[in-house]
Amino acid sequence: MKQLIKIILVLSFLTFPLLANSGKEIAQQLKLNASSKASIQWETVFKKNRKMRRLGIDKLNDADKLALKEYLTNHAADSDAPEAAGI
Amino acid sequence: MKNKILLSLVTASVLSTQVYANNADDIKLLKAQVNDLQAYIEEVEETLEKAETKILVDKIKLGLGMRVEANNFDTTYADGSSPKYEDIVYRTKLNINMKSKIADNLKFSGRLSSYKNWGDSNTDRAAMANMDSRQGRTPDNNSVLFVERAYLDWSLNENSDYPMYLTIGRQASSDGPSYQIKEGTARKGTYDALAFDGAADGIVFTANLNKVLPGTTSFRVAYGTPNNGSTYNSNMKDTTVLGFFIDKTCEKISQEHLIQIYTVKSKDLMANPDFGTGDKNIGDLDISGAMFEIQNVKGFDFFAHYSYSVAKPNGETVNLSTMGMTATEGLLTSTDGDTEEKTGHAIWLGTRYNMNKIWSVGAEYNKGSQNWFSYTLAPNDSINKLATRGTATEIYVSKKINKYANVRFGYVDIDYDYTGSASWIGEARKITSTTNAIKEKTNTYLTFNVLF
Repeated sequence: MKQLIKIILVLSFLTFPLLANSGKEIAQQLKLNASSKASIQWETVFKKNRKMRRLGIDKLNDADKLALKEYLTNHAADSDAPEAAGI
Repeated sequence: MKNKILLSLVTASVLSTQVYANNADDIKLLKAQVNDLQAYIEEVEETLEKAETKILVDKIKLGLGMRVEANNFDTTYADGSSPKYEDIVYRTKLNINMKSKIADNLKFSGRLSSYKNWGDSNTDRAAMANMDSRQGRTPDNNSVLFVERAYLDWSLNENSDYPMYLTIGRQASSDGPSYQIKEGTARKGTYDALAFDGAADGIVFTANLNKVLPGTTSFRVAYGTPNNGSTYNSNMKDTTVLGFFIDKTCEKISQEHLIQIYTVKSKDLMANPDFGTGDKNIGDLDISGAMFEIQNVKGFDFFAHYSYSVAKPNGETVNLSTMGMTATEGLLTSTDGDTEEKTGHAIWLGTRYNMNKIWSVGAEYNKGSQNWFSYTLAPNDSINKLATRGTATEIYVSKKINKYANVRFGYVDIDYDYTGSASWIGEARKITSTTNAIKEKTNTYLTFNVLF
């Protein structure tokens, strides 16, 4: 059992590829600051075309919209934030 | 021709009267709409003012952290005996998290903590739970709320290319990277949890070099005095801790990740602050290491830590014969006058696979050598697995209940190779079948976690 876990861990480290995290990138492209709104406010943005148009979100495809929404709600003003000295 | 002109004039006159009449109606309508709009704006303004007042008056933002756990511990001694002490140990941990932005250049963060065994009236445990680094982090027999964290982040030079901060008070020195991967939260502490986990008072200087170096870079210098010996024993020196840390992220890696390297020097460690006048300074300890963690790589999170410790006993020993040890116990030695350096090292590896938005599974592995010692006296986990002089493995499955809560079921197995894991006093001896020591410890646990 312990050996198996060791092997899985080593293989995982050797084989994983680094993929793009599109939600963060899209937010940067659109100059959207996730912590400027609470998560429920970001959810409202994605429900209203007028708000999406204003922020340039309406031009994105569905997959990008989903990735962006996930990033923005996960990093919203009321979301769990990192804690460390000087942060 | 005249008739045509006359007809045109009459038609124009009729039409213009109608247009005028229409304009007058529109203006009346517009005026009514403007009045309505003005009333609405006034109403909105009034509501916004109320909200603004509330924000300005609420000086501290509160958050809730809670963990209810059921642990089934099993202990096996080196001679093969396996006494069952308890059936299931239930515990409740409460964290009241506090945040406040006092001014643009000053922030406060705090955490009040209580960690309680259900129905526990055993006062013997209270002494350990009251140790400075353990307050609020070690299960106790009462529900006292300890100040686990209370610190001010003071920005020394706002808007500079080299922002610098002083963090003063009871620090965010517990639950550090990479515990958050198992917990499914954001980073919850400053320091590598393999080497440091517990409450600590001190001062930390942080310089952020994000504007001058690619990626993000934070350089930290931390100073603390974990045991203030001179307050009760004038022959002793205060223990001092001075650490240097670099946190780094790379521009080319888009996933959330962290690299941390550090070296920490502790001078004049005490045998045990609880000894009072019988206590002594027994030597110095250095801990250095490095870690890397990355999240959300095709659903996987990974981390790898390495740390090594160098204990430098000064030859002094204390008498621990009343505690079942010898009369000559020093810093990782049981020989009076021993000043030989003791080097230890440890690794900690882990992964978590997020199968979907609800379920995730994870595995962790750590191994510590004979003289491995770290500052993890008040660990996040129930059996201080990262202090193990031997091998520890953990597997778990976690289910997200909602954005703020999850349930985790897991199993931890510790196989000790040497005695005295997590202790800086006494020689670490090889465990054989004749050694009077715990050889294996397991915990099958179920936890319900909320962070809101």
